[in-house]
Parts: sequence; structure tokens; C-alpha cells
Amino acid sequence: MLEISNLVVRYGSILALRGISLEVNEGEIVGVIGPNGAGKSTMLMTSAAAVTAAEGDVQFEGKSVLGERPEDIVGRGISLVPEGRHIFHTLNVGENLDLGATVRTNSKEVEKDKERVFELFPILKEYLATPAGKLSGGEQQMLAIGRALLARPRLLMLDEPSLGLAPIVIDRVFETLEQLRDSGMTILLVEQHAERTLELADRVYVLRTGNIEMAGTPAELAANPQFERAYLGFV
Amino acid sequence: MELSEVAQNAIDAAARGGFFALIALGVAMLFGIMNLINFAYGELIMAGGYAMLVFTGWFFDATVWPLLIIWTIGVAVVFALAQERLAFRPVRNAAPTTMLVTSFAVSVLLVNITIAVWGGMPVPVPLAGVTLDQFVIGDVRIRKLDLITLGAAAFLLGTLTLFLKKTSSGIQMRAAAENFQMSQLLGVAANRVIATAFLIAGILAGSVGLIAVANRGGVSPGMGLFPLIFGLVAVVIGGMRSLVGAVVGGFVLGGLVVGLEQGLATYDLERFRDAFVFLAVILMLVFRPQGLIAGRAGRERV
Repeated sequence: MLEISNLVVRYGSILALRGISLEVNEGEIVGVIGPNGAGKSTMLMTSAAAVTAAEGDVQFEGKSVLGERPEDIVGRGISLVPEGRHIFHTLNVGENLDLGATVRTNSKEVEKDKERVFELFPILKEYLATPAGKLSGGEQQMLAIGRALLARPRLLMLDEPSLGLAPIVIDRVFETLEQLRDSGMTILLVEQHAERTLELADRVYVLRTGNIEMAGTPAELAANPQFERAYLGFV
Repeated sequence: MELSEVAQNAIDAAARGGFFALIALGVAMLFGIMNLINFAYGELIMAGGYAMLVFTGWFFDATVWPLLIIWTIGVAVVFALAQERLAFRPVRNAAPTTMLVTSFAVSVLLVNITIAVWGGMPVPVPLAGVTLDQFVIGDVRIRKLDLITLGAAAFLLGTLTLFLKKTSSGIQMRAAAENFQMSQLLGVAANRVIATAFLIAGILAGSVGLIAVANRGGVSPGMGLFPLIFGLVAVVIGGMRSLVGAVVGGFVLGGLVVGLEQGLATYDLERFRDAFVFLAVILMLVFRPQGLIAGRAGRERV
């Protein structure tokens, strides 16, 4: 579904991605783990056309994503939940959610999807009129995911959803991702939390200083002695 | 001070506050969405003013005032959309300094075109004595124009609030003003949001132009500078990242200006009024740079 080939991204003279390749197939959860500054966010932002690539390609469902405008990517079926959630603090929960449906045309279908989001995150329904800035970190994360889901994406990309959240909340978030995968969603998950990602993902890539160092199923990686060294290096 | 004086000053302050609030709102709207202070904003007000001059040249006076209002605001909107399309869109992703210099350039260009066509001297605009009408209630003399200003400000602010809160376009604008990139990631069309912001700014500028010319009785090429500066002051006082702040700042500034005029008059220091206003701004920037109404944390500002 998503194919990244030899992607090179530069910020000025700094190489954020040095030619990485990875792929996400329909119906899987792919995890990308790595330390701070590895280039994980850059990879996601480039796939969402929010950052320009220097070389290489990112293809979604066979067509390149590079050179598009960020606002057109959503229409193609990709939703990004960026690092830090970026909910709109001055808007209330309802308005935040409605913004997720900006590209949708069928309001009946949107209402149905909203009900599904409320089933996943009942607390959002309670807080519909509350300014989003007043929600807790975990609630904001749920709002960010719910909002992304309302675009009815085929690929959901998440950048460090566990950041700043209490363990019990992270459990809830990862549970939700599993539920989504089980109902057919394809997920690309970027995380620093190696352990939980290994528990959840179907396949994992390890990204470090702009390069993919290792790839495989969680079982393969766990059996790899090199992984244990790298894993201990940044957990 | 007598009660009638207080009442008169209050109305004066409110009217001027409304005037400044409208300018501040136009400035804040463009700043919130584009992270740019449009120094050519005053020239939108000027365009409205000269549109009125042209109009009264055709119709001899302002008795056809609904048409005058539509015409003036229409001209300001056209200039605003032109500014967006021709001057600011090409440099939208350039460095902040580029956008700043662009806005200066547009301002200078528009002022000089005006001088070339109408000359540099102020030109009177005949408005059939709207400015002179007064109501008298007891000891209090209320200018009709002040009531109109207040009414217009209330109407525009109310309509804008409804637009921002109840329409999907308005919600998209608020989102874009808070976090432009995130709104794009949700599918909000950048071009449309920015064009809408300029459209609204144009409507506000045209309205301000109408009020300004009614107050001054004429137009001049530099007439946009004072409103722009005081609009910026209002935005700084009220809070740079908040539309509500812009409105609050406008009314605070109105009160400040009238208060200073009264207070300084006792010491024969009225000519230093503006100096004191700017002193207040400096103090605000020193002690509470985020303004009275703290908005969300901003990106780098020009």
C-alpha cells in the first residue's frame, strides 16, 4: 500500500534520511522504532507531503505522493496523527472532530463514522463542547486519533502516540490500534517505545540516524543478537 | 467630572474602541493565518476612502448611501484579494523577512499610485453632513456618527463571530489560524482559507475607510498609516494570537486614547497623546508581551 524507496531528505545541509526503503502492506501494522533524531518523523511527514524529499520516492497505492499538496494527501486516503497530537486548543472537541471530516462529502457516512469513534473513545462524546486544550494528554491523543479516523483513511500513520502518556493510557491507545487493525485498517506506527511496538506490530523496521538498520517480524528481531544491542541502546 | 461628561467620554471611547477593534481584527486575522503583519493593510483602508471620493464624484453626495457602502467595501475587497493573489501568494513559503518587505513594497506602491492620480494633498469628500448630526439627551451630546460606528462595529463583529463559530469555512479558518500545517494535514485547502481571510480583512478595511472618511471629511494618500499603527497597537495590547484579543485591545485602546486626551488636557499636554499611547504599548511589551488575552503559543513572528 505504501512504498518508500531510497528516500533522501535534507534539512539544509543536514541529512535526515539517507536513502531508506520500507513498505506497508494492506491490513498490517508496521512499526518503525528508533531513537530521537533517527528521522522517523521526517519519514512520516514526507509521506504526508508536508516535507519535500531530495531523492527517492514514496508511493501510495501505486502513485507517488511527493510533490502533492498536504491537503490533497488526506483525500487520497492517508491520515497522519503527528507527534505532539496538534489538536486545536481553541476549538472544542466537536469542532476538532468535524475538521477531521473536512474532505468528506457524505454527511450521513460521517455521522456513522463519528458514532464509531465514540464507541472507541466514549469520553469524547462527553466532552464535545469542551475546548480541546482542557483535555488531558491521553484524551487529546484519543481526540487526535478520532479526528484522523473521520477522514476515513485507508492508511493511518501515527507519530509517537505514546509520548507523554501514562502507561495505562498507552495501553488503551495501543489496544485501540489493535482493534483498528482487526477491523481492516492499515497502520504505520512510529515509536520510541520499542517493547510495546514489538508486541503490537506485524513487522518492524529499526531506523537510526537516517538509515534502516534492521527489519523483520518481532519474533525475528527478538531472536537477533544485534537487535538486542541496538534495542538496549535506546529503550 | 460631571456625569454628562463621563457619558460623552464613554460613548466617544466606545466608538473609537469599535473603530480600532475593526482595524485590529483585520490585522490579527491576516497575522493569525499567515504569520505576517501586512503593512499594506492601511492602504486597503485608503483604497476604500478614495473609492468614496470617486463615488461622490459620480453621485455628487452621499444620499445614495447603501450604494456607497457596497461600492466602498467592494473596492477594498478587490484590492485585498489582489494583494493576496499578486503580492503575497507568490512569496507565501518564503522567509518571513521576504513577506515583510513585500508588504512594505505593496504599501509604498499603492500610496504612490494614489499620489500620482490624485496628488499628495488631502481632498475633501462631501458626505452631506453625516458627521455634524448630533443627538442631545439632557446635557449629553452624542454624535450620530459615533452611534453609527458603534452599530457598524457591533454588526460586523457579530457577523464575523457567527461566521467563525457556525460555518465550516469559519471553523477551518480558526483551525488554520491556530496551526496552519495541522489544518493542511486534515485537508483544509490553504489557498481558500487565506483568500477568505483577505476577503474578510477587505470587508473590515472598507468599513473602517467609510468611518474614517466620515470622521475626517476627506482623504489623503497617507490616511492608512494612522489606523494601521493604532490597529497594530490594539493587537499588541490585546494579544497577538487571539481574535478576541484584537477586539479587546481595540476597546482598551479607545478608552486609553480618550482617557489620555482628557487627562493630558488638564496639563496642556494633549499633543503628547500619541507618545503616551506608545509608552503604554512599550510597557505592555515589557511586562506582558503576550498581551491581555493570551492566545496559543505562536510560531516565529515577523
